[in-house]
Amino acid sequence: MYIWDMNNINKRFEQIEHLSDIGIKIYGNSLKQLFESAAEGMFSIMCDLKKINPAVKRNVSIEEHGRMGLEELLVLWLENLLYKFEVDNMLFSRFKIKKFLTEDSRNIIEADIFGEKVDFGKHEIVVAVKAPTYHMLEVRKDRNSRGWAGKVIFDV
Amino acid sequence: MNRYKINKINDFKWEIVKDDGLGMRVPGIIFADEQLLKHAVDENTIDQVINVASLSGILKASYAMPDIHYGYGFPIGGVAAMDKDSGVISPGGVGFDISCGVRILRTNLGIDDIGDKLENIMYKMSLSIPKGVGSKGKIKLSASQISQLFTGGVNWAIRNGYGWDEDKYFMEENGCMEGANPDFVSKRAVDRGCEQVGTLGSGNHFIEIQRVDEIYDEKAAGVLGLKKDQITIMIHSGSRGLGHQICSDYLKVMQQASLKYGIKLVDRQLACAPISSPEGRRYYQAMVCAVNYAMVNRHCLAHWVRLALEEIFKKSAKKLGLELIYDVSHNVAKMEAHNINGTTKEICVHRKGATRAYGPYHKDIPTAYREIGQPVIIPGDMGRYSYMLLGTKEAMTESFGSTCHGAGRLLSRTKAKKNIRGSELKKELFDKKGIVVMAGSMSGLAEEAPQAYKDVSRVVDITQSAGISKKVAKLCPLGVLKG
Repeated sequence: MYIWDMNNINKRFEQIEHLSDIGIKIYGNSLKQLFESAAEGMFSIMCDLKKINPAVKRNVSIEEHGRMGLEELLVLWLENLLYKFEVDNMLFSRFKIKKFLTEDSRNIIEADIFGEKVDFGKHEIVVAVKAPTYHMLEVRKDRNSRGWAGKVIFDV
Repeated sequence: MNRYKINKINDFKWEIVKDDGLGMRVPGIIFADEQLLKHAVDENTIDQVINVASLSGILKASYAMPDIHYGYGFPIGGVAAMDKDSGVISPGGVGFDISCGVRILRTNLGIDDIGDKLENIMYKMSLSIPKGVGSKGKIKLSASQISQLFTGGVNWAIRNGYGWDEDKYFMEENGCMEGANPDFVSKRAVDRGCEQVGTLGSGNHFIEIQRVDEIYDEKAAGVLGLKKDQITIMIHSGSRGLGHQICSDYLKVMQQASLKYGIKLVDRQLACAPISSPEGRRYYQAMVCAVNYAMVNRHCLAHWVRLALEEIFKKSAKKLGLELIYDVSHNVAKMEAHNINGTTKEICVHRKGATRAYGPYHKDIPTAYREIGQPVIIPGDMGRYSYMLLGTKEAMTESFGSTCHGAGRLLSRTKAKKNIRGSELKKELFDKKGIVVMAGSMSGLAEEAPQAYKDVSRVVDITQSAGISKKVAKLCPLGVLKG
């Protein structure tokens, strides 16, 4: 579990039990922040975030036309990050979503993500996430904080 | 109080009674003893068996093998056969690691030949086997080369100098499943896959040096070229990022397709489309690309193993007798011919964490093994044992020619990590059992600890008692390489 204070949110994410795989609960003041929390949560499964120096910036740009729920968009965002992880051979620890738009027929996420190349001397990779799943997937308004909360189970 | 009713058919077979109120089109059949069944009930895995029973065109039953455990959408250890005309195909019924599977090689080495070389062997292997996480493989493919791999399977690898020609005769589909269409594989999937051929991956993937500990069927073991105290090599890996991306891409397609075809889903991970629909056909053809990629991946891993052992023993792999016994997938959907109500029909069998286990004389079994049945490789855990089994005639009628695929998890990864320290586990395995473990991550190792898994011997004993497979040999780990 990885907990800290940031922007009035006590917890950004926490790992939850799943017999075969690993899940996270995520929290955010806004949808933007919720998605950033999910990204942090996903990379925390693979590696201690404190060990990942956010020195190098990469850009993620998602534009999807057609109807899409917030949950599907969350999966797509995480898949895009996994793609960057594998293809650029980089771990990321900081995520800044600059544009977040969800309309009936247009969904846009533009983000700067920060991390560094995988270095076995420094990074212990516990397990590589294969993919976010739709199983028990959830994005909802949080009753308590008036912010957002969600849940994602990953295949590892 | 459960919402479903379970009937005992015999000590090793249970029926979840078909209940229209739960949307079940067929009953559920679980191969388990009372204890494993209770585990499945407690973990709510039966709900996932019931969910699969609600899919269109499902034939006979939603099956669960004794290593059943809670997955996402389909249970792990689930088998579902679908009618070709009225049935659906579901990427979730195959999983992200398309054609994740196992292969086993025999050697003409005995335990005495290993002597004090074990640590050196494991060290050498850890250097020569690309893990894939944070490091690329030794093979870099262009888009056109990867397309050739998708359609050619292991033939592509052999043409390019990896492995031996005869290897392909000891693989499912002779190392090349028909129906691959590279046009239906996304650029993203290709990007992820082009540098990962011949890489192990992380999680439960491994390469093990093993010793044949016990023979249960001398005749069959003889046919498979196995004898007591012989050294074998087991490799467990899949289709890496390529397969994960294909599954992700088509889960998205299937979310829309499910709406389009009016398919009501109880779990979105079960998203599917009719087999005959454009979406269903595209997924199948892309999935076949990943199946061929996974077989090539294991084939190349075996090639690196051969090279490492050649260096250690200063003998050629041929002289070391490093021959492939068999290679089999445990995450796949296949078009297969089965007997349905007295008629042979082509149907689509999903195996998610389950192994094909064809009985003797099936035409798809290598000629050398045809009389004994299809070899089935069941990895256990890194501290105890794995098994060689055979498919049976009964499996053809009882489970669409399917059996278990492994031990099944007992503890979640989070729990395992909380209770076990990887470094202590590594030391304990060496001190108490002489097992040399090489792993990139000690936390990752803790997640894969023997205590985190059920005893695989219990699982295989149930498959034997239920008649869906037959034990040939037990294999104990000597050296374990984790990704």
